[in-house]
Amino acid sequence: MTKNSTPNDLIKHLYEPETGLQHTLNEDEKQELARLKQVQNLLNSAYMEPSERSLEKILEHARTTKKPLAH
Amino acid sequence: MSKIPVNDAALISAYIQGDSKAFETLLNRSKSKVYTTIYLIVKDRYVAEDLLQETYIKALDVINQGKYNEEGKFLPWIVRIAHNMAIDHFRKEKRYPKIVLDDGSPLWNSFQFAEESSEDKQLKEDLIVNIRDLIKKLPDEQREVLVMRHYEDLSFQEIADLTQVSINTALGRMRYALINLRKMLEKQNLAYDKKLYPK
Repeated sequence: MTKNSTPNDLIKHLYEPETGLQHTLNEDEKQELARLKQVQNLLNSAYMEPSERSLEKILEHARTTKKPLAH
Repeated sequence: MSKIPVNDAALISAYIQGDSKAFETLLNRSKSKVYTTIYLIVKDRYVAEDLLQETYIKALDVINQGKYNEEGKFLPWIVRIAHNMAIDHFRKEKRYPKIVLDDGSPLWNSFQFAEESSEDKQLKEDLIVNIRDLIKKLPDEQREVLVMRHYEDLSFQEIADLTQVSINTALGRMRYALINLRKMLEKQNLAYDKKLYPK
């Protein structure tokens, strides 16, 4: 008999997958996991890039504060 | 032409030895995650840009002073600095209330975010689904866990420890965050379709 996963088990598996858990899921749980995965994938599209100006300021600080190149 | 080391620990070592290009590689690897984490907390691009610079400058100072000791885990370290910078921003501006709960819990238990800027309100009017806007609509405790797990790469156990809740509570908040996002997306898609195809 297959033991049902709790909703929290699915969330844990989504982010911190455990080997073998996938095989114990019933059809409903697999579908729910797939729906959660879609949202998870969408969250990756929310990543943003900072401006070049900010990056240049950071790099300038890195250049001016570093030690001379070792030989 | 020098060969660029692959892992973060090697890049930091190279930077300490004087190779500023090594830091540029580290910056390029981490900038998006760090900037997104800050932005989702402060909700203002200009403030996020400032805090991004402050975050890396602080990290550089720590590295240059020989105090960096994160055993090669640069990304989680810099993201934690960014998170704390964002929280400190509210403290300084007195926009982030210091919360003392009855049980003496720290502010982590009452993670709150800035009010939306006018720029954000304008973005909101856009019919195109924008996941960032939807994240901002989540209740604070759900958004807190989502940002910490998805963008800061903290484990659920680490989140539970930092926010002083059980791991099941942290997992439950993440679950509701994802379910609420899904519902909002479905609702927005419906509204979008109606606008495109009015009766």
